[in-house]
Amino acid sequence: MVPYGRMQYVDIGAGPVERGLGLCTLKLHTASAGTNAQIPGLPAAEGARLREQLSARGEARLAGL
Amino acid sequence: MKPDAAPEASAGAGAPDGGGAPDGAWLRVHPASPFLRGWVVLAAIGFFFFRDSFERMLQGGPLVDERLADRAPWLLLGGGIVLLLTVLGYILSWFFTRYQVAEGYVRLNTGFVFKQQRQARLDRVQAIDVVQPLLARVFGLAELKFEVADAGESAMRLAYLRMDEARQLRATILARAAGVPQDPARPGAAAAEAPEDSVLTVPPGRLVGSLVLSEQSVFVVLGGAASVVLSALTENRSFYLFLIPAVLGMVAAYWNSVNRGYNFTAAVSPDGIRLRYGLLDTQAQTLPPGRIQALRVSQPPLWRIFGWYRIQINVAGYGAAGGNGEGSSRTTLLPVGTFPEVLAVLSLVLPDPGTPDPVRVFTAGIHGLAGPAAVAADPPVPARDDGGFVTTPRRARLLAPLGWRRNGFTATDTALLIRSGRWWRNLVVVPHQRTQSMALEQGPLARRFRVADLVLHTTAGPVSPRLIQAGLDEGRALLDAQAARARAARQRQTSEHWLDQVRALGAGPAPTDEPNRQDEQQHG
Repeated sequence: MVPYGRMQYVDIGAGPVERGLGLCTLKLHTASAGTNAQIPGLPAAEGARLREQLSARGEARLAGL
Repeated sequence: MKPDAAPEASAGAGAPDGGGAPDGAWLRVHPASPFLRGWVVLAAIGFFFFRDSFERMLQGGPLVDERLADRAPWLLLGGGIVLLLTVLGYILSWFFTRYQVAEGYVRLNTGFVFKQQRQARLDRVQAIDVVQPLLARVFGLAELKFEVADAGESAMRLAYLRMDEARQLRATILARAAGVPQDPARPGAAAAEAPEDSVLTVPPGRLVGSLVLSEQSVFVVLGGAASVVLSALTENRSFYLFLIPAVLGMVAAYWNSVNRGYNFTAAVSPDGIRLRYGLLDTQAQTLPPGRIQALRVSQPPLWRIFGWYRIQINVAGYGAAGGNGEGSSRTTLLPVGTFPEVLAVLSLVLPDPGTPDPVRVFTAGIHGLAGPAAVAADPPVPARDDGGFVTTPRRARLLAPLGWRRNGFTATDTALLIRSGRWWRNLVVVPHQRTQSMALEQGPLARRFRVADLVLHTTAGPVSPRLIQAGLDEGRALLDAQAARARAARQRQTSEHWLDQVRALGAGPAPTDEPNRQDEQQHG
């Protein structure tokens, strides 16, 4: 579980295989090194939409450090 | 979405024009960047192929070995292909690296086989550094590091931009992050760079002096003396040979400290505290207000001769100071400074110290020692002349025969101050709204004496706030009080846009009445 307000930044990565299949991996970064929140195998369009949505939620629940 | 489908219409035209780029345009870094970063690889390839021929040339022999002469074309071809592939890789990596600053985000796309798109909110910025390694400095280029609160690696490294571009981008990012309202008539207008006032500089002489008197030097002298004595006792001359690597290491360490600390300048601007330093590699750090999680003023015993102090900080994006030295210089707010300079820096970090008499409190925190009258009572009463510090109770003096009158804490309205150390003097300052969590720790011996340690958890960094051997009752009371204070302070801090906060307060942060602030600094 990652609280929206704690997200620091969002990564979308796509290796050559994933790109060939039209997929991508979404990764959430928080202030902790231990967080390993990633969603592999998202359709690329869904990944982009999710990134925008998560970023917007992060804004709505903004809580710094 | 294919990553290429991002809006990049304006990105095709090579190098972007400095500063005037419209909002939201995808820009590329300077074309020379991969070569500057990868020159070591190029040099290695060159060295690998030409070393042999070069050695022959020096020996007066033919350029190519006869046995290899018939194979030379293939070797050259192979070398050429490796070189070509490397250069092609550099060009591709440059072509596919694009960044964008728009709508409150900074985005960075990298990679052409493994694509990565990174997106960070501007108001999450913890610090922005502009770094110029020597080679980049020769070409007038700079690297921009955008730090968010992650575990130490830079979230975004834009390497390399032209120096004026890097400064412009830094100003734009800081202005957006601060919440400076944009001019609606010119939505993409470049932000003006915030003016800055220099607060202090560290003269080179003092830097060298501080190194000579550092703990490191004490070990050097002791180690040298020990080895001389050993070699004299054993009458073994070759003993000196073993010292050579050690001496080389020491020289490198001192050189690093000089290179990093040279020309250290601290300045204040509405964007935050600016630090510049470096002899060959120069670095400019910008710490926006409220990004410092914890601070430590320390004084090694030998520095007491000249009254020098060091200030180190925890910043969420910088992480722990690793062994590479980069971290340790980035987390140093003041490498060596006098007492008035320490107070001046403290006033920058804590514009509102939360006490009517900050000089007395901070002085007591750095130098103070509880008087006999104050500690005779059990529990100890905070003495007015000791800045209100509560020290270790008298019953536990056996646990810390030297430090028990020194180890203590006091809380102002805005920060918790923890002092410790009779010889190695330390004062740790943690702003209330930066308290992450707390723990009360007690070992078996401490339990006998009814004392406990209070640990404040903060982000990774050189400062680890720990209140040593407080009385159990005082410790418990502090734990509860501190939790309440942190909660209250967090409610007061409503926005990450630091200019909004200042506006909400009506005026700027309350000016402190310290006598040492030579110039009237502006706080946005």
